[in-house]
Amino acid sequence: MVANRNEPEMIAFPTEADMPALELKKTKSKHRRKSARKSMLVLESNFQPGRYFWLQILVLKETELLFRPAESVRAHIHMNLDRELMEVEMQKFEYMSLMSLAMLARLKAMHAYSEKRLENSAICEHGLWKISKYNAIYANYLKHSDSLECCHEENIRTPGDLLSLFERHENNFRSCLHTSILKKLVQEDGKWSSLSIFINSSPCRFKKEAYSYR
Amino acid sequence: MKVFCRGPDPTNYIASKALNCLNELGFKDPRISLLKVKLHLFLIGLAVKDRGGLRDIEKEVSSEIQLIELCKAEIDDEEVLKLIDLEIAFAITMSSKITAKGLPTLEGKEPINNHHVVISLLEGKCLYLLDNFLADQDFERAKVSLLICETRIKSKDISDASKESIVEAIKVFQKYECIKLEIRAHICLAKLNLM
Repeated sequence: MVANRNEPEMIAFPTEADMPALELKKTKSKHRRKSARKSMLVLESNFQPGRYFWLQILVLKETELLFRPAESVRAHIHMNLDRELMEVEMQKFEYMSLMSLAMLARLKAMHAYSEKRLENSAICEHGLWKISKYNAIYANYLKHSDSLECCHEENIRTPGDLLSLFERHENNFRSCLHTSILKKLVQEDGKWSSLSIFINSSPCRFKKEAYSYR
Repeated sequence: MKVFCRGPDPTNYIASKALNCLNELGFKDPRISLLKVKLHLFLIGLAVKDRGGLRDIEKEVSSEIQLIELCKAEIDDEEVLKLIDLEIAFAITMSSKITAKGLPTLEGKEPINNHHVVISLLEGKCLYLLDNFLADQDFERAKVSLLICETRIKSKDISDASKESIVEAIKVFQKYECIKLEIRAHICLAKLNLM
């Protein structure tokens, strides 16, 4: 799978010329005609840095494939985060936040959790754990929750379906905790104010302006 | 992670990693401090729920509470601070309830009755905070009422006030669609009527 970074909104499928094929070239040898054994094969790579996206392709079900970015490649890309990648990271954070809110909502709707009184987690939605209405991500979720197809009621019917969805995205959730990336994002001017909107702050009287976003 | 992972360890690891991440970022922001408090409370919740080593629970809970106190210094919102105090008081109650219940089995002694300790913690700390500072926290009050009622039933020390408070709690659980807690409250009410 190849993603052309010059056209960020399009996923370009590889043409033959783009494919990272290894061309086999036979070098000329003085003794080529004399002995085929002496001919040498030179491997010439057509890789061009920055144009490829390495994926692990996993088969979850018979009819379902999961394309997961290879972690090593991701780490390499993140060594030199440019502005475009930072924007992508921010979009990922936002999407993962929306997805977790949607998953929690489905979890609550199905009562598929242990409702202990000392829950102390995002399952709780009262007291200290209440999400502020001024949180831009939460407000965005409330506005657009219907458009999150992955968590629609018809797609997620059982706790097993929810578990499957979680497993598909577990790596993405874990990757949100990469300190080096967060530090780079924060160092970038103005990114802290954007990052701070992901922090769920409770019933709090923290200033409304702190949650302004976009 | 807490819901989907089979054991507490991966969940514990992720929560600790998130805390480390926040510490490494090194921001002084009340919202970051609040997030840290929540993660510490989450770790307490895991320790209490896991009930692995009873002696470890006490140590873990007290060390997490110490860390929460450090975070509290960076928060200036009075209501949030009172809510944190309430959560800490509730966590202490739950951990003391569990540890006191489990220790006799470990030491091979007769079970000790710690119900009065739990009730005094709930009424003396949790209800005190709710009555004096957090009057609008109806769900938290219902939670505390349910726990008081369950403990009183176990110690056979019930009063008319217990019945009234549990009826109120049922209404709150119905309002917020907390079916499991509502069922527990109904069971409590049934037991109270039978006693």
